[in-house]
Amino acid sequence: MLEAASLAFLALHSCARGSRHYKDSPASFVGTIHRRYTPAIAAVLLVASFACTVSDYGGAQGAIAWFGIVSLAAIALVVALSWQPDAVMRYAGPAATLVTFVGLATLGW
Amino acid sequence: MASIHGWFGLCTGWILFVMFATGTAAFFRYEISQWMMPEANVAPASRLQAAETAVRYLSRTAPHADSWTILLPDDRLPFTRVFAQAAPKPGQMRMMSHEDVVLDPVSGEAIPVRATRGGDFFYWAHFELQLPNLWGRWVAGLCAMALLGALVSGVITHKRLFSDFFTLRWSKGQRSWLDAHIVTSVLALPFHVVITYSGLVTLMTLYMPFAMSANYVQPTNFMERLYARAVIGPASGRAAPLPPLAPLFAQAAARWEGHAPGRVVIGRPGDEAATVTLARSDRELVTARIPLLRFTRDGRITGTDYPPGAGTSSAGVLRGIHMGRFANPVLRWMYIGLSIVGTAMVATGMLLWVVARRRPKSAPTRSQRLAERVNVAVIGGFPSGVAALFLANRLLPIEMPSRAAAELWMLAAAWASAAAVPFTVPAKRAWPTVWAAAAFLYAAVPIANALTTDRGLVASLAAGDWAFAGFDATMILIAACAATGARLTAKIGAKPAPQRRAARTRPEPAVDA
Amino acid sequence: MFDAIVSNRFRVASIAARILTACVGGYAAAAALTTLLARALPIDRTEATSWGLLLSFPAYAALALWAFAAARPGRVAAIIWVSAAASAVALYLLGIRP
Repeated sequence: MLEAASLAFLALHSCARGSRHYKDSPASFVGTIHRRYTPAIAAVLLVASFACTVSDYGGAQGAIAWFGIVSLAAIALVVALSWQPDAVMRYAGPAATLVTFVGLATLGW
Repeated sequence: MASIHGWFGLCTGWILFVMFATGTAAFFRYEISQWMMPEANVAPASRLQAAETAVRYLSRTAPHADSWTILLPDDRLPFTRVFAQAAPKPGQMRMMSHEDVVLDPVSGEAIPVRATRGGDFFYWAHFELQLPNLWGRWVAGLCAMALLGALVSGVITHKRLFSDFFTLRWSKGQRSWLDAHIVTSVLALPFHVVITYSGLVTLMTLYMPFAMSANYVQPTNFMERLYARAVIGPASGRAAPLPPLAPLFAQAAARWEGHAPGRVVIGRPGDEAATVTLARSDRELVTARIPLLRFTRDGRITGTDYPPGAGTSSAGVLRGIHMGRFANPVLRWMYIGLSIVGTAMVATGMLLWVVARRRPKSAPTRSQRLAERVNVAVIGGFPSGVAALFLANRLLPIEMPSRAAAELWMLAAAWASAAAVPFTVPAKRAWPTVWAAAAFLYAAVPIANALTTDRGLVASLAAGDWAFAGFDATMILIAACAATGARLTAKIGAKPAPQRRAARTRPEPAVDA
Repeated sequence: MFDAIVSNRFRVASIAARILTACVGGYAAAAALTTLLARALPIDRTEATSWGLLLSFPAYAALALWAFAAARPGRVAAIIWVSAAASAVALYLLGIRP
């Protein structure tokens, strides 16, 4: 579930990076992606997150859990951005990527 | 559209706040029941053993009942609960009783637990609002329908839905409340829409019974197919001993991947025409339309359960999603997190309604002041009432008559006292006082637990009793949040008005009254 | 002054009429239309009833919001009330599903 949550977080983080509000904020490697690609990347990451949840919990529980994960990740991101936008924009991307790999590693991949 | 959203919200918001708060607590229904019945410290038993001992108990105490319902223990609630029910009136559905007896699953003896509604109070209050007959369900349904309308109109109103997606500004007065309301509603919108719609679907045969009357001469025939209820046939009048349960459980396990049933309903016990219905545990499938196996007295499977089509299945799945009983612990915590977000959505909406109408230079009108005060009374007062309920559970004498009702009266008394605060103290002190009272009450709950039982926080941590430890820890967490709320509202109230106006850097958006 | 009273009363009456159309009329129309659907759908009786029940709430929400938001309240009220009445009559004529 950890990797699903961090993938969802990354997807939303890239959406935020692509939005008008944060286009000039300091950014990590996420900032090297051009803004017009962020919706497509976010979509891919969300699908990956969905695949992880379903493989962790089975079909019905996984699908329902995914909606919960995305919603809660979005709220966490928005609250974090409202508090420390620069720090989040700079460090959240690498941190979430690291968490994703840790989560995937514990799955045995 | 914005004014529709605001008025739907105002008329129903206070009730919706209570519904969301009780609904959030209802996800923890069984753990709360455990905590409120600390005497029921039982050893685990297999479900078959629990069923057999329950039947022994019921044969002794209610041999002439029309039906027995036995709710078997599981990992969330380790004791057996039984109901003996009389026959329903003709044309009426059998409704679940609110009163049950708690049994030790190993011995089948009634455990002398203190009389209390337990966590079930939150479940029933969520959609019956503690009102008699069906009035509560109608009020809850109207509010849920209004919420559905408010969610749709909220999305339509919010023209800059996606560009404002990540906006949350602190300390900007009305703008901050608007942002908070939008964040809590938009970011969890799938949850809010699904939980509202599925809530209406759960009681749809009450709210929109017309389709049933158009298609069925006897609408209960439809309801029996929609809900997969145990069908109890007429009595033959001849006495006969009850069938043994072990072979029936074995047949069920063969069909249900080795799982034992979660519920046993015995119709016409002691009669020759007795039926035993086994229901699968509602923890295993998303759908609330639980598969049933009906047996005659000699162990034959009888009567095929109506195989549900798309419509009936969808209704069952929606009901299951609403109650979330299928959820494993991680998913259940997510449900609770989103439900708290929903409660915050309603609360911020009500606060925004008041804040948005404050004109900076003129005093608030009488109706604005009333709305503000009722906000404090409900949003600050109801949580205090719930804490008082838990305290009453620990502090009321065990042997007092009508103890379960007395606990609820304590909830009402505490809520009424908290509600009196905004009408008696100056406006600036209302919120801090109410939050401080809530913090005090919630902090007192684990203390009362430790002092009056032997299952205090330290003891339950040592014993690995996560239900008790989690409950006490949650009480402490809520107390801490309430204390923080008291501090923040005291600070905001103390700031002089000109400083607050300067903090607004954008002009206020035009909000329709 | 007289104008103010008359126009104010008119405004209150028109808002009350909208609320009535949206909340009561919407309920009636949603119930009647989805019941007619449930009665007339040529699928299994139980499934048709289930679909009628499931669709009644989105229908109610849509009709109520339309009634509030539409620019011409008279037209919306006519459509909602007439469709409710027409569906009810149709249901009465059809009778219970045999």
